[in-house]
Amino acid sequence: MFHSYNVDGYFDEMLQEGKKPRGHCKPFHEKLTEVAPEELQSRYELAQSDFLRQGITFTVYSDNEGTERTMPFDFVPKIIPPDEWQELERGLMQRFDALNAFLDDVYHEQNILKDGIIPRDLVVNCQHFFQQVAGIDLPRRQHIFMAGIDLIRDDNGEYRVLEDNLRNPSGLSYVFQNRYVMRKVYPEFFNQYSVQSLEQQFSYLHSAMASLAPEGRESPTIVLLTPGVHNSAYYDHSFIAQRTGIELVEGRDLVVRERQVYMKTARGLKQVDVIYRRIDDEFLDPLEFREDSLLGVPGLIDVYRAGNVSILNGIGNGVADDKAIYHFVPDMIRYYLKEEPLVKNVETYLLRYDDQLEYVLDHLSELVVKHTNASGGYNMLIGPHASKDEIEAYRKQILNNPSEFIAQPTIKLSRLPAFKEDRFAACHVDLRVFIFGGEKTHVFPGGLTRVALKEGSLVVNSSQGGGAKDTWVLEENPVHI
Amino acid sequence: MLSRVADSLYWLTRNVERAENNARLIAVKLTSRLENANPTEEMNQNWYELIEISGFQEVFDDEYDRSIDRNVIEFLLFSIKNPNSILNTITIARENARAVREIIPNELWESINSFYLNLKRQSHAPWTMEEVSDICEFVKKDSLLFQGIVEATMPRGDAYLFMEMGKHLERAEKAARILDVYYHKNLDSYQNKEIVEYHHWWSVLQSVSGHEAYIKTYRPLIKSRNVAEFFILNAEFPRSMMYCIQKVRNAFVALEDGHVEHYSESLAQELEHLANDLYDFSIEEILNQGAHAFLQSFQHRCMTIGLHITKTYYLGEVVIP
Repeated sequence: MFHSYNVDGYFDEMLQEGKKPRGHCKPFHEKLTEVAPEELQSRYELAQSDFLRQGITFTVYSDNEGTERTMPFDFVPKIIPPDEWQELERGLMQRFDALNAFLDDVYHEQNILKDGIIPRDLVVNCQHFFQQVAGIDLPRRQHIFMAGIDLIRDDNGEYRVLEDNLRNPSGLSYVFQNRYVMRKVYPEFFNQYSVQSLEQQFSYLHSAMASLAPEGRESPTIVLLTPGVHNSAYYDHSFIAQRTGIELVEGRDLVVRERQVYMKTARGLKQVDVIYRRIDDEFLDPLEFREDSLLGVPGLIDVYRAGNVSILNGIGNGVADDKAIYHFVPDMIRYYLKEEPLVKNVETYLLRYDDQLEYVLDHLSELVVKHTNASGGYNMLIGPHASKDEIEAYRKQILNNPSEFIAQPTIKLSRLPAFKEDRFAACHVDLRVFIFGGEKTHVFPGGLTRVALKEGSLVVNSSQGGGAKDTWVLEENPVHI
Repeated sequence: MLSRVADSLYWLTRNVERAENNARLIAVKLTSRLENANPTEEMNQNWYELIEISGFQEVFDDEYDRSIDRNVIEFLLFSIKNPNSILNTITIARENARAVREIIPNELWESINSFYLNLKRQSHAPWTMEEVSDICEFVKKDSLLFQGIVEATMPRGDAYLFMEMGKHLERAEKAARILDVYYHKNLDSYQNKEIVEYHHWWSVLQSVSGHEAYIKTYRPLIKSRNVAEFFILNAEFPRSMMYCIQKVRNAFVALEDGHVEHYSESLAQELEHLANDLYDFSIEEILNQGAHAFLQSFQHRCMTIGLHITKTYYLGEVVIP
């Protein structure tokens, strides 16, 4: 199965040179070679049909008819040794706290701008900076309730942050589903491992939400606000609502009266204290943002301003996960926490600066260039994989408005084996880690490992051929039962 | 509980029930077709009755040639144009379930999701008349599995009670509709009237799976009067109109803890009046006022109860003042 497997040129998380497994992967690798390929194939199909039966699908449209597809699941997990995880966890909490401090600062005193650490125009002209919410004091000054931080490992195996998602990061349900399916379909793979459990996380999550309620609300009513069943992340919403025991609502279920938010129940109106919303800022309240939004609740922002309802994540968080602001996160950590960043950024060029623009234009064929307002792997140039024409077309886009672009060196994303019927192939992976704040900052053990199943591809997004893997964080002191 | 959630639960069970009833009707027609040696023309008239029961004659007449029985089956099973086709009702039921999947047991969601996926697959595959009975059988089984999971796993709280109301209201209305369509059919022109009549009523009973229970009560003497009594007034058979209305009422009483408040007054009254009428009337009194008139009025009152449920619990797109 590993006959044609290639470990050259990239950091492989499971196999070292000579295809020898790394220490913590050894028992798993052994198991893998023991099971017959046909057996692996039939279990693979079982796992996919499980996702289908659960209705964990996204819809692909062609010929006017939507087809439901499952996100491909690959059963070779990403395994993280305890010491590696502890270091990562510390670094991510540090980053989370600095980003939160930054948000509270830019919506209040703006000291970081006054001190010239970050250029003012970059912040105030960011499309996700909302003057409407400036000066609002949030409970515990917590702007970020949940963050999904995307990490990659470079060719030395060092973790780096690729992106901070501080608005509506999705995928938490997949972390759990991947684990359930893994436990169900491949139970014996866990035999020689003691993997950190995910189960108690939901009670932490619930207390975190409750701790962010407006002051004085005893046992608050918490709801999750979803755009509805047709949203691609609907499963995520419904899963989180169910497991944390909160109400799942749509905009039409909520109404504002006398600067309070209520939900419409079968027995009349019931006051709502905390809204974990999974609707973007612009759609939350047609009176304040987009008038054409049918998803939101008219008057909601006014209630928020009055301090009568908590909205998680805070409004206007997008200014902190902007692709250009990203460049300054290490400076934020130094500025607010007086610490050195523990997890590095990927080196980033801001094309608003002439010298960096010049360098990037000279090296387009080596770099990855991204539009600061695009996401999901769209509208980006991967220099080494692009044709001459594509590069020239992109050059024109850049020159139209250089300040809307950033560039990064092409990262040689690390790889892990992925199952391909009769063999294993080395495919690139990244990792989204979920972190939430409340009484204290907390990191979900592991996260969502995404894998680019198209061999050679660097794009892990599910809309573009990506799949998922289970992520194991090993216990420091294995419990032997 | 959110009004929207209550609405979805209510329509979830209504739609599953509707699908099951359709499957039962088709399955019975199939067997009676095999047993009756009537001329072709008569057979097609028989199939068309199912379209009448579905209530969408116009849609069907616009789209299909009524003289072909395959068209009727296609219309009832899979047609997108027929709002009450089995595929449509299960698609709606699944969307309802998806909208409340954090409320219902995961097993229930999985069952309705598989139900839908199987049906969808069937609808794409070419089917022969011989397979129709299998398809109906699988629809019945999946519906029964669905109901079994509800009974075995759901707490008897608000969610369950809204589902009960939806299911039994649908069942009551459908029983009335079936009896109505069959009851005013004139069989006098047949030479072998006695045999035709027997088969006729036997199929009616079968379509609500009531033939066995009927025999236990009335012995194998199939008379229209008795069938009507069984359908309308039997207090023990779970698909009789009397039984179903009683169930809707019980669910309502449980939901309201036995109290009647200002907001629920009109619903309480409607339910009480209908239940009392069923209790007070004898089958002779009903037949004397005309079976058709009675059954029409019953269906109308079921619709009114449905509207009152919607208003009382703010189901659907109701604006709260």
